[in-house]
Amino acid sequence: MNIDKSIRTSRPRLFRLQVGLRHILLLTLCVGAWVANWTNQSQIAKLKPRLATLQKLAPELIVSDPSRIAIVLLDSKWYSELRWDVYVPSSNFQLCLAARDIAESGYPDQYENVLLPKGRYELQIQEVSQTDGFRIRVTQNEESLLDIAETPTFGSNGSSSFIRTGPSLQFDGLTEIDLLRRRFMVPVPGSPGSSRTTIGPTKGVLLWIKPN
Amino acid sequence: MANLWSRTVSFVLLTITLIGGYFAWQSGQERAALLSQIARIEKRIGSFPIVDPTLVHVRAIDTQQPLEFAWRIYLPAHFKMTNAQTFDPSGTNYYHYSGSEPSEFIARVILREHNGSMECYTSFNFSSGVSSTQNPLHLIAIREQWEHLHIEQLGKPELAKFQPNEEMPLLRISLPSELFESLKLKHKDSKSQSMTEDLLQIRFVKRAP
Repeated sequence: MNIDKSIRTSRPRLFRLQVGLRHILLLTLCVGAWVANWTNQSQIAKLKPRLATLQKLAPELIVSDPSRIAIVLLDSKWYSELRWDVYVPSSNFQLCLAARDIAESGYPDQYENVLLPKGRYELQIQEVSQTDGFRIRVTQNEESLLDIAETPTFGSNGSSSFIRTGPSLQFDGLTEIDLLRRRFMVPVPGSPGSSRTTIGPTKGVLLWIKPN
Repeated sequence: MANLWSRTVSFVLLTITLIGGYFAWQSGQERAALLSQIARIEKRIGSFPIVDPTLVHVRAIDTQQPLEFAWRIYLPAHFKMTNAQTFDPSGTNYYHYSGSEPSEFIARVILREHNGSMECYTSFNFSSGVSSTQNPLHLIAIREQWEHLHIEQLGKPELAKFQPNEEMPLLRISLPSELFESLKLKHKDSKSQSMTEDLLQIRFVKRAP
């Protein structure tokens, strides 16, 4: 009888001990996984603003979707120059430059253009006022892509500009993408030396990417 | 009954563990991607530990171009200072800056010859502009004697740290004495005679209260 009693009481104890170990093991894994997640999340919270600061300091092109155009404005290396890093997903796009009839939106009929085959480009636009004229040049690695020569007084009245800035962005490329839209002011009649913005099309610099 | 309870607890713990493991894996991937992007940018512009946020930190960036200089600069909060730029011996330009928030930016100094002048483009977060000189000695020294010039650039090779009210040269490009004298002998025009050995000096100076 004594033997039977001891068997009856020892079995549940053994069972409880085995289950307890499994629970402890699972609990340890569970705590480990969630602590790892919490540690990662707190580091991500610190890394994100650091990356944002660095991206502002040294903009870089990010192509997350290779089927879309990507554009980022780079650091200027001269006062009258702007540079963009551009990724073009196919040969269906052209780079266009105009200096006249530039409205607040829309595109002029007269413009210079060049086909942009699929690839990555470091585009640079320079606006140089020289004694013999005003020159607008778009280059890619020192090679001239587009060039417009204007009169020496062109652009002497100040301007208002839209410049494609900000972080690296992607576009589907179904419509035109402005890189630079600068609209020169016009002289105020009867007030020498004064100029004002105008509503209608005016002289300026318009650089844009257009689907074929 | 006990067996059922035990299995239920195990199942719940296993489920929470798997969910936690998935989130940990996902956040680990995100963290690794962020670290790799940071490493890629810091490879270009250098890592920049802010040791003491009350100090100005300056580290030179290697531009790989002879006439181009760049720095990564950290300015502490409530920074009030003046940047003095002397390119043409006829005068010094002063640029004042103050900000309530700390700021970090890339400063650039680039020299170019344009239409018979030597131009110096400076870009800081608080100002940018171009100075130019037609001094023949300047032109010849920069165009033909570049490799013989003395160039002192702050933050190269070590990170420079200093108090906001401390005077500190950022860039000094000067002619060695012998070269300066020999160039002066060759170019006896009044502009060259008024020149000093310094071709370009950019420095942080104390701001008047």
